[in-house]
Amino acid sequence: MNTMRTGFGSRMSAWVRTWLRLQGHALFSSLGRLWRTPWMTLVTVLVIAVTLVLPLAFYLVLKNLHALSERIENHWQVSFYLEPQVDRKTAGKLLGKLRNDGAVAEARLIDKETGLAWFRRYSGFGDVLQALPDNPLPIVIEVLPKREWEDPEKLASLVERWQRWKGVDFVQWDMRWLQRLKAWLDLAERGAMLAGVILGSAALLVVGNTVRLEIEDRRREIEVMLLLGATNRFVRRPFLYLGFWYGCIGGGLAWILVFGLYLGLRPQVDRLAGLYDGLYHLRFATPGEIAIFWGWAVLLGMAAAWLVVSRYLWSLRHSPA
Amino acid sequence: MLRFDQVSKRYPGSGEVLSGVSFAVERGQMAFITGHSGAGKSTVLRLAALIERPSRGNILLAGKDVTRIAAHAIPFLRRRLGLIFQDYRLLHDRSVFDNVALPLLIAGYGPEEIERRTRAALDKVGLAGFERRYPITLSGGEQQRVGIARAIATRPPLILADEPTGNLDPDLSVEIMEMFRDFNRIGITFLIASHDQGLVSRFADQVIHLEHGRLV
Repeated sequence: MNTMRTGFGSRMSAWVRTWLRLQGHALFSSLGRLWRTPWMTLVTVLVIAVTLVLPLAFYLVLKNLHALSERIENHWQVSFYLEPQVDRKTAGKLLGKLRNDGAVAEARLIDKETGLAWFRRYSGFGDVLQALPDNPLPIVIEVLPKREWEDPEKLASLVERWQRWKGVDFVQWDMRWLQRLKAWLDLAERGAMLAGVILGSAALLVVGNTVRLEIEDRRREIEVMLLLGATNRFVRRPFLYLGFWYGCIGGGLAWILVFGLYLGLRPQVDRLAGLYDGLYHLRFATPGEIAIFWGWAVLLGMAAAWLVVSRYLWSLRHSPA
Repeated sequence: MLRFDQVSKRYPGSGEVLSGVSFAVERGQMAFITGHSGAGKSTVLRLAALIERPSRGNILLAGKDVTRIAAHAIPFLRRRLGLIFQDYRLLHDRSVFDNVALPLLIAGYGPEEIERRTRAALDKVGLAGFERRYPITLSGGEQQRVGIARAIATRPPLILADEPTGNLDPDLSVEIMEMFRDFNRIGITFLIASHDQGLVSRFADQVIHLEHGRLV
C-alpha cells in the first residue's frame, strides 16, 4: 500500500519471496500427495526405476566394452619368432634393423630366459618345461607399428615383408580375430545405445501416463483453481514437482538396483578376467556419471509432466466445457 | 462495474444462446439476472467471468474492455472477481481452511496474510471454528457459506453468483441472500443469477430479465 516507500528492490525481493514460497509449497505438497498413496507411489516409482535400470546397465556394459576394446586397440602388436638357432647377437642385429624401420614405433626383445619365466608363470605348463633338458623357446621380438600403419591391410603387407627376413621363423599378428571382436563390440555398442533410447522413452511414457492419471484425478481441482484466477504456471507447478519426485526417486532407485547388479556380476567378471591376464576389473559409474544420469532422470520426469499438463491445459482452452 | 454491449453468444452446432444483450451493473448494486432455465443466465455469468468469449459485442469490466483480452491476462482479472456456484465447487480433499485459502494462495499472499484473511472470511460467514472440518461433513448451507467465504477472501469488488441458493431450502436461501446484502452494504457489487422470484423481488436493486437469450 505504501508505494512511496516501496522501491524497485523491495518489490523485486517481495516477488522473489512469493515465487520461492509458491515453489516450496508445490514441492512439499506434491511430496505429501505421493506420501498419501504410498502403494501407488511405490509401484510407479519401481516401474520407472526398472525402466531406467536397463539403459543404465547398458551404459555400464558399453563403458566396460569400450574400456576393453581400447585395451585391444593397443594391441597392434606384431611378434617375431626367430629361428631356434639364432643367437642373442644376431637377434640384437635384427632388433636394430627393426628399430630403424620407418614403420616401427617400438621394438623390444624378449630373450629365451625371460620368455621361459613368463611361460612358467602364465601357461601352467611350468612343470613340463622343468622336465626338458634345455629351453625350447625361441627369442621373440615384439614390434609396435607406427600409427599410420595401424590398418589391417597395410599391416598385413608389412608382415609379409618381414616374414621374408633371414632368421625369422614366423611373424605372428593376431589382428584378424581382434578385428572381428572389435566389430562385435561396435555392434553391441550400437544395440545398447538404441535400447537405451527406447527404454528412456518408455520411462518418459510411464511418467507421462502417471501424471495423466493424476490430472484425471484432479480435474475438478484444476477447474476450480483456474476459476479462482490460477495461471497455467500455477496449475502446472505441482505436476512438474510430481514429475521431479518420480524422476528423482525413480532415478535414485535405478542406481541402487544397478549397483546391486554390479556387485552381483563383479566376482564373475574378476574370475573370468583372472583366467586371461587378470588385468581387467568391472568398472562402475563415476560420481559424475551418476549425477548426470540422475539429473537426466529428473529432467525426464519433469519433461513428461510438463508435456502432459500443457497438453491438458491446451485442450481445456480449445474445447468449451 | 460491469457492462454488456450488444453481446451475443453462439455455440457451434446450436443457435444463439444470447442475442444482442446490453446492460450495466453500477458499482455497489445488487443486481439479479432472472429467466427460465436455458434463457442464458449462466452464459451471461460465464462471459462476465471470462470463462467464455462473446461471439459479438463488447464486455467492460471496471471500465476496461475485456472482450479481446489476451488469454494470459485472464487469471489476473479473475482474481478481482468472486465466483459463487450452485454446486459450491469445493475441493473435498481439503479442509475448509484450505478451500478458503486457495484463492489467496493463488494470488501469492504470504502465510500470515493468508491465515488472517481466511479466518476473517470464515468469521464473516459465521463459520469460525470450522477450519479443520472437511466440506463433506458440512450441510449444504454450510458448504455454500464456505464457497462464499472463498469468494470474499480476496476482497473482490464484484461477485458473480450462479444460482447460489439453487440447492438450498427457502429459509437458508434467505439467510444466504441476507449475507450477500450485508457484503453489498460494505461496497461489494453483486450480480446474481436466480429463478427464485420471491428472493429477487425482495433483494434486487436491479433485475435483468432474459427470455430465450434476449433482454426483456
